[in-house]
Amino acid sequence: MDNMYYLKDSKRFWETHKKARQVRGKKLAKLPFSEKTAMAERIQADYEVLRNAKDESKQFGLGFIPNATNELSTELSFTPSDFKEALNKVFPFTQELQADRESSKT
Amino acid sequence: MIAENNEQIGFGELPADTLHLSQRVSNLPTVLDELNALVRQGIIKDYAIGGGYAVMYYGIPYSTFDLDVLVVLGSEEDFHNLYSHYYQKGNKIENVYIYIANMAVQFLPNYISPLFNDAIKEAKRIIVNGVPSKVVKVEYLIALLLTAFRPKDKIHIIELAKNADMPALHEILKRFDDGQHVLSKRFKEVLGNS
Repeated sequence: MDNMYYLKDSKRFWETHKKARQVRGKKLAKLPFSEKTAMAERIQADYEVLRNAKDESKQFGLGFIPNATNELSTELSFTPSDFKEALNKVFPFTQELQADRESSKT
Repeated sequence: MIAENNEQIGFGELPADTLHLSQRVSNLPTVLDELNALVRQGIIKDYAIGGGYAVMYYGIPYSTFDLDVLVVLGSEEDFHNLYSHYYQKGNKIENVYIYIANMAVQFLPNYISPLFNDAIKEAKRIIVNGVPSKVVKVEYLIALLLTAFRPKDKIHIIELAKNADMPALHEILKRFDDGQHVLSKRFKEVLGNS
């Protein structure tokens, strides 16, 4: 149990994969310059695609609401009236709802 | 027609297929689509992008020539089944690499290490060009690079550590380190030299 985080057969696995990487490395080194350039460009394209990838975990909670959440978060020290004002600022339709509700009461 | 255009922009007699190759088109979303199909078909249980492509996701431009994919499999037999699946489909298989959409993909099974298993389980959900996928969290990526610990890995660890949650990283290292604390020692060594 010298090395607890690897299972029994991992040594064999890594030996195989290390050899495979070396073989592939040698093969890639022998490629013509045009193919190397093409490969580098594809990797650059992959990099750009990955850099623009959306973090899906941010879609949960309030984080996904664009702009509105940012405005709301600047007003964290709420009094009840502040909260109402902040809410109305973010969701203007609530003012209309409130007006409707009050007019129906009268 | 292509040859004439080549001459106009000064490429001389560049063959047509070279021109096609040099277009900046990423095959990554196609490959990820294929990996999602493997999950749907039950050939793999789950997966996460690791290695150089994960390093690139965290904003470090990097030249890597293969896509490392950590996969959850039931057994070593499932690993062979994965290769058989692509062999039967007619994909090019070169040594341990399976070519999917012209990209060399290296599958690393979870049973090799509990660290792999957790890295997949805790992976971050992302959407790449509309394709849902998973990439190992930066803290797990650092731990994985510490196990490989090649010169280029050391450079990436320094950069990645800037955006890592340090208590979470130390917890991972503590959990997956061996009796000799190799991973923690390596991490200290790298940070000490930076």
